[in-house]
Amino acid sequence: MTRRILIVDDDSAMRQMLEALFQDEGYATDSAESVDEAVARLRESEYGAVLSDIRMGIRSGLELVAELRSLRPGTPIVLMTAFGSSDAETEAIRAGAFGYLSKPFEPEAALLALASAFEARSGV
Amino acid sequence: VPIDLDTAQRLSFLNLGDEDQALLADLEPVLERHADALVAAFYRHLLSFAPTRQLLRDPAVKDRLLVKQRAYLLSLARPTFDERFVAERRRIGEVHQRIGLDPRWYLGAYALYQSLLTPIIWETAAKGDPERGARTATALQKLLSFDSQVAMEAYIEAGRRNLDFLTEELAEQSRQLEREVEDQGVALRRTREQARAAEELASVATLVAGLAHEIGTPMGVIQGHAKMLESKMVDDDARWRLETIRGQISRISKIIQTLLNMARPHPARRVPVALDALLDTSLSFVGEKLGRRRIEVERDLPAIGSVPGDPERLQQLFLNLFLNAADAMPEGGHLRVSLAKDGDGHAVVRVSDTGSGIRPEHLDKVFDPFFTTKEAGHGNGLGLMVCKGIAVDHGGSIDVTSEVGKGTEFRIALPLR
Repeated sequence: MTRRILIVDDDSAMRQMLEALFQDEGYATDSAESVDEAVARLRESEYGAVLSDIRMGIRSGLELVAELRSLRPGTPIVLMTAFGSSDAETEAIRAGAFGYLSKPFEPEAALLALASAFEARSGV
Repeated sequence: VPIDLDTAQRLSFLNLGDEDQALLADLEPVLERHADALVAAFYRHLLSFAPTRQLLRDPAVKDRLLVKQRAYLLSLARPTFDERFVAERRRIGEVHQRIGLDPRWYLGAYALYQSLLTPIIWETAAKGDPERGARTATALQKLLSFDSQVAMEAYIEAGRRNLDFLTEELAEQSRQLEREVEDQGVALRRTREQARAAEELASVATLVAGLAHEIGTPMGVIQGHAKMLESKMVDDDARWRLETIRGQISRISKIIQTLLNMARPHPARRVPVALDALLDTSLSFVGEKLGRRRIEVERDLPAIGSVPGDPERLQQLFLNLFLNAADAMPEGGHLRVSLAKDGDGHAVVRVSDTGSGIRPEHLDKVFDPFFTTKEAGHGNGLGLMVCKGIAVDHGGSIDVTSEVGKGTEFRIALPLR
């Protein structure tokens, strides 16, 4: 399984940091700043996992979960819930997300979440 | 025959005297002969009016009435005007007051007897002596006037007594009502205060949630970069500085997480929570820490029933208070946790320590966010705000009393239903 992930966040500093963080750990990364852009990327290529913010511009990360399901049904997605709101967390899991990270999170937590997503996927 | 002053005056005014008594005595055989017929005529008359007919439906009342009427008729021949005689006459008015019959009915009865008896007097007693018969009829009229006056006055007096009683009763009820209104006012004020506190908390929560959201992202970025730098750092001193940066960012993160926990709208989880068991468990969680500090724990935790609530959040409330108490007693002391019911349908938990106490000028600030007297880095000043939020969310309240050098007591009241 390719250790390639797609990072989706409308905050460029966050995108850059996450890309660097995962690249440091040996992942290949791509990034997108909106759900639409992410969908375009997902159409082009396959990713081992997706890490996406929930609250972004027009379309939310929850919509990306739905898009991902029809485009790439086997690809796990981890959502970042900025509000730390239990509603968003519940919604994320209900929508079919593999997991969630509530901001602010420790970088290790992000690495661990994605590693688990990969592990789960290879276990299927 | 002893006659009281009032009766003497009345008799004098009516010009009712010994001569009348002598004349009335003539009536004795006549009355005895006609008593049954007179009572029957009286009874028939009563039956022709709705209110009296209504009363006579009860056979017991009817029998009693007929017996009394017969006795009354016979007594007309021997009016003694003594205390007992007057009392019996008064009773007629009093009874009418008690059963709520208008005076017209008994006053009418005197007139009725007058009209029934006058012809009989003419036919019997007056035979052969019309002049004496006329005086007898007049004597009877005076006696019946006496009787009706006495009954009427007794009726009015009894009415006034009833009125006084009712007035007093009404006044008592009005006082009771006033007290209730006052209590309601206090309850309303308390509810309003709680509502305002909840509102304040909600607006603070919204602000905090927005702020935390904005700060969360850049902090995540800083944290991520710092972590990446760490693995590239070879210089120990530089590494230590970076670790410090990360440590401090973690500290900010924890504050934000706490605030977010406060801010997040907690779905109202309500299950029956037995506070005695919950407090006991919570105490055991901090048992080791308390033991290390040589803090004696006194529990007074009777089973008083359960409160509807979220057990995890309530536990958080009490744990915060226990840990604060422990921090206030670094040299050991006494922690007392008690549970009781108040008269208002609340479970009341008191957590008191024998620690350093809180200065009076700080007392009203302890529930404010970021207020702390702990050494920098040892408390974020959110613990008691969280406690208050949890108590208020449960429809309850938290208060504090404290004396410097003696200790502090927190009182948490939670509604039992």
